[in-house]
Amino acid sequence: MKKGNVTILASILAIALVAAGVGAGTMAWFSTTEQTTSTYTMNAATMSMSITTTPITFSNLVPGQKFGPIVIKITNTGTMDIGYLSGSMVLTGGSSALAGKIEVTEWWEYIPGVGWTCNHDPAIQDYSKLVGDLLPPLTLLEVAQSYVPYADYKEPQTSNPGSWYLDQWGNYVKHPDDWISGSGYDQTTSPAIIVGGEYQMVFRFKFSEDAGNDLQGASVSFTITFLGFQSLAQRP
Amino acid sequence: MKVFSEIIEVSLAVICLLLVIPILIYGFPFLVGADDSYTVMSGSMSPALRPGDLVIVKGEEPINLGDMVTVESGEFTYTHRVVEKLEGDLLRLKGDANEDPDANLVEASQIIGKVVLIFPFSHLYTPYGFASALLVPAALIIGKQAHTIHQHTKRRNRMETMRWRRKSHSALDTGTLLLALILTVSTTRIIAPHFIGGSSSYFSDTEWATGFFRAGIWEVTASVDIDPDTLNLDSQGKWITVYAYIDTEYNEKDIIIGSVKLDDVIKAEWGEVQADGRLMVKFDRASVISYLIDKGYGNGDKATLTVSGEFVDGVKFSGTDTIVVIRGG
Repeated sequence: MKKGNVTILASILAIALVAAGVGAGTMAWFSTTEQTTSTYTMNAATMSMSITTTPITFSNLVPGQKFGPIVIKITNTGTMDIGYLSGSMVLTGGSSALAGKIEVTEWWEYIPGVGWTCNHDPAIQDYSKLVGDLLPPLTLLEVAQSYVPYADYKEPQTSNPGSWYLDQWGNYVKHPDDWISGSGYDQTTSPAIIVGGEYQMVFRFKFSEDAGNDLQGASVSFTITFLGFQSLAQRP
Repeated sequence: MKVFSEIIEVSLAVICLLLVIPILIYGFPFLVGADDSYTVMSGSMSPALRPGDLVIVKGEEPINLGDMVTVESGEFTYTHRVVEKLEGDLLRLKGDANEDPDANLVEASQIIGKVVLIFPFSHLYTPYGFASALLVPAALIIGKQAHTIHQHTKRRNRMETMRWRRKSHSALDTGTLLLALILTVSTTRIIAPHFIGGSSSYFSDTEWATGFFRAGIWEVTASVDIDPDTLNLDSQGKWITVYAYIDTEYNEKDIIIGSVKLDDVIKAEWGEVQADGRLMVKFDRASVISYLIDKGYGNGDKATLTVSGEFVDGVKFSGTDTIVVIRGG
């Protein structure tokens, strides 16, 4: 083979290699920059939620009084899907005895793409939560002390015992202080709240008829916290 | 012309080093005394770190507020900034692009190290960076090779061929090699995230609502005085008189007289609020006596009776007094 021909062949080969490299690089570049919700997010995505609620202050409650609803709306105002939403309630002050006499008569969640789910009745809820002792009535105190339900798991997971907790009612649960049933749980592939989507939680209460006179004038304050994450793996 | 091509070759060599040195350090962090290296996978630390950037991490470094640290949390690794140091070596971190700090606190044992070097390879993902690091070198190489092929195949007269043969005409000269190296490095970095894990500094946001419930007043206690203190069940008379005083902001004047009852059975006949503020109500003596006899009270027994009623707003009051029951006389 002549030396000139070798050079031509080398040149053609170089062009082919470069073209292949550029092709692969371009494909990778486009597929990477187009992804907005995967872990590799190239655009200037932000996660942002906003919360709106109906008033959550009720005074002059008397035994037997029904009150509510409280409607809490979480809107995804960011530019990326919230893959997983976690929620919890803690009592922040006042009388836990009063919280024990505030019955949660209704507790609903609206998850975009999933619909309404019921949390207050273990018999009909489609996502079995272990909240309290599972005996009616469900109270504000039980909700504040509840854990996330892993109803299928009555045994601690031996592979990673540290991530399992035994709640005060004797149930093995995975994450303490969390009770959102969001799609983040078992369906990690579907986001809990898509961009622009709205999640809702609705409560109705009743001040128990058998509240004692010693609760007159008592008060209780609480905080409901919602955490949005990219994915279940990032849950604290 | 020769000087010009040398300048180009030197420039290419510099660009090449700028790309290759970070990749070398990324591959072998010990070269700069660091311990680990990561590719940033998401933008929660933006603009300090952008997806595609390389971070070089050094362990065993004192960590201060404002430092970026890479931590391991379960199965994934992320890099966030220290915003608070708490007791017990706990750290609170926050992604610069997140509105709120991370929900979980980080323990010292989770910290892989502090970010000591950042190579902004994320520029490769901007259209400009992509064009200059990938498209331009590729176009130059292809152009150069096309030119080489053209030179080898073009028809020449004898003189031109003599001159042509005297020069060297390699397909792979220095410039081409440098361009190829730049192209290789940048292409590798662009493709890399599809195959490797990295520091996926995560996004999160927190919102909360606070609630407050207060129980009202539904029953107040009254001080009750039943007159007479000693009741002869065989006595005559029209009334049993009850005085009630309520030691709260509730006003006796707001009591509905018709709601006042003795032991929840006997209704008051009439009543009024006296000048001293006490409520006085009258019960029919005969009804009270027959009630006490029905309950089985006899001579010398003590009877504790409850007086209760309602205010106009529905709040109840009640109080008790004990009287002595006698018979005959």
